[in-house]
Parts: sequence; structure tokens; C-alpha cells
Amino acid sequence: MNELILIVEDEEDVAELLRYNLQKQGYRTVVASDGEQALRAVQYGDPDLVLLDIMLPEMDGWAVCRIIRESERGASLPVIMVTALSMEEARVQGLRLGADDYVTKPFSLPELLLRIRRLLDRDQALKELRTKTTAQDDSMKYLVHELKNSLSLMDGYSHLAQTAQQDSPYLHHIRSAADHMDQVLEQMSVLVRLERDRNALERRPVEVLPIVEEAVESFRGAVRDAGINISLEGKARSAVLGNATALRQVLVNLLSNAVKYNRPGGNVVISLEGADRSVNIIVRDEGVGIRPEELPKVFDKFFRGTGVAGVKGAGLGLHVVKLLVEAMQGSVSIASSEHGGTTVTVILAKAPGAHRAATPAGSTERSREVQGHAR
Amino acid sequence: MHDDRKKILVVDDDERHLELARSILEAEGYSVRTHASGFGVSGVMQAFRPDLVLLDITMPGIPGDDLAAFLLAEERTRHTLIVFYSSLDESDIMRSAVNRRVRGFIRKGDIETLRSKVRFFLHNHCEQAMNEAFSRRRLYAVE
Repeated sequence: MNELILIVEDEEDVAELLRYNLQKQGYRTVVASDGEQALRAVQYGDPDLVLLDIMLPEMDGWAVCRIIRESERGASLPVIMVTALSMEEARVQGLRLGADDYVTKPFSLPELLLRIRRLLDRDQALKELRTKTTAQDDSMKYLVHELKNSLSLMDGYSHLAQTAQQDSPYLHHIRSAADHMDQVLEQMSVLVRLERDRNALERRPVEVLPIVEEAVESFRGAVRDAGINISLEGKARSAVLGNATALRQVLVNLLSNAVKYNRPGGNVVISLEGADRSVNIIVRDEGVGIRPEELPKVFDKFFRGTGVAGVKGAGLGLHVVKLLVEAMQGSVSIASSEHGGTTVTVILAKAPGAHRAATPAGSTERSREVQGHAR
Repeated sequence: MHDDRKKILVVDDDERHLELARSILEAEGYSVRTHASGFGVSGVMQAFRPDLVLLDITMPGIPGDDLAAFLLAEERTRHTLIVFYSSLDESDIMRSAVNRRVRGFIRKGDIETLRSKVRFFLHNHCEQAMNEAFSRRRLYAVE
């Protein structure tokens, strides 16, 4: 108990009445008699709930409410509007501006107290949920980091052993198992983050071609081993509104599928097409394809096609692609025929103004020099 | 005889990572020195004068990102190319890199990434060859 309630009220007797009754209930109170005082109290007093009168001198309650909502501290602060106007319009306006609840003057004290209690309880539950979520995120990150750390050792040392012992097939299996675990971890960490918050990705202008080139380059080894030919066509140079890390992961997943599910000696063609307001990234393979009845399910979580016996997978790749592309506010589609190969098309919105790619908003000259690299 | 191999210093609290990085990078023809603690790095840098420093982030005592900020503020060490070498989440490494003004990172994972990124950093930094590939890469590299 002992929550702090900020009473924003310019009529002294009303403020006094509220203060007296709230304190009797065990709440702590602070009174602000105008908008400016109210905002200062929100900023520095850290109240748990605001009782906000609409009719204030100078800045009215609506303006105060809007500013509270825009501030970091007040974004989720419970606000109850108190209005003498019993007009619907005024109440709607208050709710639209982000108030959680309202009472009309003259108000019934028991009702007001109940509404306050209910809102405070709800806020408490939300806070607990947020704390729990953050703790889970931290645990997940820790888990992924620790496992990846060990996997990189397994991968590295079995590679070295393989070189030293002239290609033992046992070591090859160890490496491929480590590699698989590594990929699952990678997908899971993306999944957890985006399932929690679809807006977790920051969108910025990103030049597509270099990322595609880099992704293709990173598959050179894998395609050589599999006897597959990979090529890049239609090198439209354009910046999209997206996220470089996400785009890399999308390409890695798509290329990995195109290589894995291809026929021996098949081709993988990736092409970039600039359209009027979008950039299309198309990845085509010549593999076994996907059965028509399974096509609508390929983006589902954990879905694995039945035509691909003998190929390892967790059923996460395309699902993660879809999540990432949608988080970049793009779209992804797939076309396939059995034994006729599969084509995946990712469409991303062009960044406003092509030259903008050279100066991502908010980044300094120095920070742009940081080099990223997907595995 | 004068040794003109490029010199790389790897800093990581895990000896196994140091040994792995040394094996891979020495096979690539670099001269490699390893250091198993965040403490004493500037002294090693003074003595060894590396062309590139690979710095783990999650180290006990002094985390790599704090250490990087320190090294980049010190006159004696600020001109050396320092990059993070970590298995943290890519977006987290990137954030640390931007915050600490570290010029790049290599994600621990497969050794091909380590090889190619090291080649990339040494080539671009040491020859100051801001070739087209590099300037193009600069554009998208930061989130």
C-alpha cells in the first residue's frame, strides 16, 4: 500500500476533500494546482497514479495528459480524468489522449476510491509482468550466449582436428551437429524477441546489395561442398527501410534452404529488382519443391515439409524469415512446384530518398564505420 | 631477420578461445599474441605493438567494452585498431561498438568468419585503402 497519488486540482476545497479521503485510505498524496506543477510532480515525485482535473487555468488537463503520455516516466502512468463536463465528447477526448479512466463531477467518493484501487492493482500486475519478462529475456540471452560460446569452440576445434587428421567423418558429424545447434539458437533468439514485441526492430535505411553480396559470399564454402552453383543477378542498388542484422538473417535462412533442399548440381539464383517504391529480393532454387497442399503452412512455426526426408531442420527458418520481414514492414511470399524448385520473394519498402542510405538518421560519422558480419 | 608479419593480439578470459584463435590465425600467417585477462592489456599492446586487437566483451573484472573505451582514450593505445570478438547477440555487440566507438566486431562462431573478417580489417585499416567495397560496407554496417 502507501501508493503516492498526485491530485491535480485548482479548486482548493475539492483538492482538500480528495486529499483527506485518500489519506484516510492509507494513500500518500501530493497536490498540484496547475498543469505546470503537475508535470513537475510527475517528473520528480514519481507518483503511482494521477487524478487529473480537466478544467485547469492556463494549460488544461488534456494538454497535461498528452505531455505525461509523451514523457518516458509517464508513458504507462495510470491517469484518471476528473471532469465537470458530463458531456460524452469530453470523456472520449480524455480517453483518446491516453487517460485510463474518468469520473465526472460531482463524483461519488466510494466509486472514485474503487476506480483508483482497481487501476493501481492493474498497474501493479503489469509492472510485475514486465519485470518477469525482462528477467526471462536476460536469462534467454545468457543461455544463448553461453551455448554459442561453447559451440564456437566445438566447431573450431573439430575443424582443426579435421585438418590435422585428414578428414575424419566422425569429426564432420560433430561439426554439423554443432552447426545445427548454433543455427537453432540463432533462430530461437530472434523468435523470442519478436514474439514478445513485434516492434523490437529499429528500421533504418539499409543498402541491400552489399548485404546480399556478403551473404552469397558466406555460402561459397557450403555450395562448393554440395556441388551447387550460386549466382547473383539483377544487382539493383537501392536502400530499403529495414534493419541490416535482420536482413542478413533473412538472407542466410533463405540461402541455407535453397542450398539444403536443392538437387545435386542445381542452381541457386538470387536477384535484386528495384521497383517503384520497393525492392524485391528473389531467391530461387531447383530443388525438390514443396507439395501444393503444404505450401500454405511453410511459414508456420515448427512446420517441416514431408518431401525432404534426410535433410536436417527445425522448422524455424521460414517462420523466422516471415517474422523478420514483417517486423521490417515488408512482405514475403513463396511459390513452388513439386520437383520444379522453389522461389521466395521478399518485398521491402524503399528508403525515402535514395541518398539517405549514406546518412542513417542519428548515427555519427564514427559510428557508421562499425563493421558487422553475419556468420 | 625482420618479421613483417601482421601482428594480432587476442584478449579473452577463456584460454580455449585464445588457443583456438591462435591456431587459426597463425595458420593464416599472422603473428599472434594472446592475453587471458582484461588487466594489463595496454602494457602488452605497448610491448607487442599489434596491428589489430580482438577483444572479448564478457570478461570478469573488466568487461571488454569498458576496456575498449579506456584503450581508445589513452594516447598510447588509441591509434591501434580494436574490434570486439564476442558471442553475444549481434545487436548487443553492435550497440556496445557504437557506444564505445569501437570500429568493428567479429562474432565468435565459425572460423571462416574469423579468417575473412581479420583479413578485411587488416587490409582496410593498414593500407588505408578506402576502396569501394569498404566505403559501401560502411553504409550498412551500423544498426
